Amino acid sequence: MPDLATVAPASGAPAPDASLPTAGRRRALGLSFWAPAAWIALVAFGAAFAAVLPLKSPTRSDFAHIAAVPGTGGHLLGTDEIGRDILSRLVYGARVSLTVGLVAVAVGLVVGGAIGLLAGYHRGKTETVLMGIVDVMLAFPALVLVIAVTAFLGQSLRNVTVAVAIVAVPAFARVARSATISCVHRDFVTAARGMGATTWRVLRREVLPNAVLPVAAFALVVVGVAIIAEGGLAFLGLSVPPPHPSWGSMIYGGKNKLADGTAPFISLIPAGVMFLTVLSFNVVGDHLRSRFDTRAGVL
Amino acid sequence: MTLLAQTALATPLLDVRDLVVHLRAPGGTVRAVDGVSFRLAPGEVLGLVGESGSGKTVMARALLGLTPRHAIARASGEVLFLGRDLRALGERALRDVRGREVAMVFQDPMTALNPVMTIGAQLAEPMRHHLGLGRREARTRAIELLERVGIPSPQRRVSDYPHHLSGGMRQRVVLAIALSCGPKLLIADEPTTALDVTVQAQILDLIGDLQHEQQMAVVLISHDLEVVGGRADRIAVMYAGRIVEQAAARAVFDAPRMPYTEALLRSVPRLDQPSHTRLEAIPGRPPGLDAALVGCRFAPRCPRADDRCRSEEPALGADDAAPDHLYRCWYPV
Repeated sequence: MPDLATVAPASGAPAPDASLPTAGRRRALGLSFWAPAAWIALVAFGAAFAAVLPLKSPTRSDFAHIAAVPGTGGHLLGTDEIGRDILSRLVYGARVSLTVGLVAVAVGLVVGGAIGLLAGYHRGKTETVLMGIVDVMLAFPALVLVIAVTAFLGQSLRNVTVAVAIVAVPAFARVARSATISCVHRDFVTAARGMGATTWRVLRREVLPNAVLPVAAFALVVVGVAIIAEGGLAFLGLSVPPPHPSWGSMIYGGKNKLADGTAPFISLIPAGVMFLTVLSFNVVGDHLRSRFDTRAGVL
Repeated sequence: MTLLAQTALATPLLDVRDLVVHLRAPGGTVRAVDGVSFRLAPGEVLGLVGESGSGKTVMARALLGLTPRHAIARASGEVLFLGRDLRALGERALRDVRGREVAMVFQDPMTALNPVMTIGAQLAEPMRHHLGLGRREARTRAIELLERVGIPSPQRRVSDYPHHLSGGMRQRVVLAIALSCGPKLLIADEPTTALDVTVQAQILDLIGDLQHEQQMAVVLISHDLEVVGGRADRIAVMYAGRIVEQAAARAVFDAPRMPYTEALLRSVPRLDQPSHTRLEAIPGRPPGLDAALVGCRFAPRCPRADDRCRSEEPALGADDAAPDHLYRCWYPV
């Protein structure tokens, strides 16, 4: 998590001086920030090093222990409806969730951000056309769009990511546009133009650095939404094809045993992990956003 | 010197002819600049005075084509800079004029600097762009410029961010940026309005020194006649989108012809009057600029106005005795 790594040292420094008057400017980040941040780091670590961690196979069934309760038969979190190790599937599933969450959001951020930047800077016709396209995309039912994309291109991690990215673009375009508009009329942008700067340079050096913070904070919240979207698609059988694990397909796989109450943990454990992860992204995103807001106020 | 002055008059540095800028506004059109003409000789300082909303800032930005295109309802006229019409230039050609030949200083130094760039980077940017300086040279020049505008320990300050500096210091940086490429004309739009009175004088003196040193012309815009008073060669008074009086600075102060100018002069507090003397204010408010106006625009607030003033607008003209003293009034003071 490069975002967190860069934030951590900057926020760590003023935290001990909470009594100093300067600390009022920057509230110290407490447990409510660090606990979710640590959880995200843990999930990211698992996803990155799943292959080298001492885990059981995520796809091979242990027929001696089917739907085993957590802690039995050498399975820390138990096994699923056909005897696959839940912990291992969770860790490998994190790869899918994080890839979709981060890559789709990154694509949405770049594409939507560029659209919003252009629309906010060149008001008038350019804005009308670009935002018209964005509004059409927003009005189109997201689920139908995603189903169409995966049905048309086939089921794969890449295609799920593309589908979620397409859905994320218009939201980013709107946020980036309003962030751009809020700084385009500040004097320093006019001043840069008055000194002969090109449009490209004004966008890159003056507007972008001032508009990027609120958009980046919004992006962290959208990561959570994207993870949920992938889970929903997996539940509908539209994400990565089986037997590859994904949190959504794990929840789906355990639904019968959840309904009859024989082994509810098969669905509940991945659901809990997904819940914690999404919540963590939201909380971290909120913290960073309020931090950027106060900073904008100080400047 | 007289020869120089004559050639200067023959080819003005800036010759604005009948400039019109009408802006789009929610309620309709705002006639912010409505037929403004003036000339500026090389090295001359023109004070442009008018109350807020008289169209000064819109005019200043229109000179360099900085008005957002989508906000313009109507624009016409010519802005001849050394004979070239800036309004007819393409964006690319205009960019070579901005900063290099004509530079601008804005009202509020708190917002005129990019908060996320060091002042050194902001200084270097136009020099690298216009003068083709390398990173090193630009930095060295930036430090020299900071020193010239009176920033203490410029070597250290060059890597500071704008929020490290006070308002007056920031305005010095803004000035340094404006002067970095050696412009022939500086447009200073209320450069001291946002500053403390003590700092105001320092900044104005600095602009004066630099103007002298670099022999550049300055359009000094202010709502305050006193600010412009001792520093401008000529003064133009703007009211409701029009220039209503234009003359040598002394003439405006000693013998204003337009009742509006006279009223402005009388509304300045004076030390030779006893304390607690009531300040004279101009009754009423400037007209809204959203409708077509009939007659003299100052007529509703003018003590001398009669029916003629309310129905017919006077042209900007002069008496034979003083052909350089232009005013727009039927019944001059």
